[in-house]
Amino acid sequence: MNKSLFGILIIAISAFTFSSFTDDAEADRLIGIWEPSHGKAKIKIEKIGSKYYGKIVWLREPTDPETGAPKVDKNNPDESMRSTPLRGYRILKDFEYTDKDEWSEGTIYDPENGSTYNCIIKMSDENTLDIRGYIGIQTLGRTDVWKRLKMPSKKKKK
Amino acid sequence: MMAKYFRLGFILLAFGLILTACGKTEEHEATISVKASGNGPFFAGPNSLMANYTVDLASLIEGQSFTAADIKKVGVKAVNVSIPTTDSIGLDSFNNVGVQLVSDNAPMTNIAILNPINTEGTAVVLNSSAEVDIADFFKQESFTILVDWDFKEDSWRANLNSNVELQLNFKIKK
Repeated sequence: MNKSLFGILIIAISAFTFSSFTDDAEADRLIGIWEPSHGKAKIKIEKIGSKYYGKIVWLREPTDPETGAPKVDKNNPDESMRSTPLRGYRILKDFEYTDKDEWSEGTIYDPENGSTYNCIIKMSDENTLDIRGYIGIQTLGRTDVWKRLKMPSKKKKK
Repeated sequence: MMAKYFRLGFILLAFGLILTACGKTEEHEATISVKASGNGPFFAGPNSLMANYTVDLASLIEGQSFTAADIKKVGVKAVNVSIPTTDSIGLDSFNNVGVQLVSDNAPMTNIAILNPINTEGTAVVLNSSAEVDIADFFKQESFTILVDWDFKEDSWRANLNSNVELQLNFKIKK
């Protein structure tokens, strides 16, 4: 009797552990470098604690033509933070994996107008994200398609 | 007669609400010091160092006893970041540095930036946000302090540490 109870306990613990691992692996598919449809930037999504954040790691035009210096967050509503560089800026914040290829509870920041929007991320396939920014309710928003940046494959030497 | 009682009741209720809203608050300063660390290699661009901070309200402000519910606002007065003087790396290795707070139950918050770093040596005072309120972080058991160093070049060192000091201004309900 005791042996069978012990067996059930072991199976239950193993199942729970396996399910946690698979949940984490599923959620971590968001991690990587992504390119928005406008092609002006590349965003690296990483995990900090239990949530996901995306920072600008590449800009097509890294220099501000007016100043000749690297671009900064000049539209930030908080004036004291306007010297924050855009390269490295976390525009995606606080995303949590909900279920079924979807990350929510986060925000997206648009440096071009200094506005922050609610945001939901859906993975339509392993290399495509539908990023929907909205105000209030999801129907009042706009969706952009981001593509995963693939590392160039190494060519074999002949 | 009934209308008179209603009016009196309404006036008393409004007076009570005004008294509650005008509850006395006190301002106190507190300093938090942590060591943030990160593992290399570090590539050119921003690289994050992290420190976990456990909230202990009992020891935060000397002689003051308060609970998380008593905290009305926490502003950032100053943020100082330094590299241990024993380290071979200096501030001239970085373009800029920023500090952010992260936690499971509060949105990530930028609290300070210094861009560019126009100084040599090992310690800098960042420009802290004048508007930010980080009270929500002190209503949790712990949070993470994130230091983003923007490396000028790739660095193949194994790790990097930084000392971070946050000077904070607490508004507490009394």
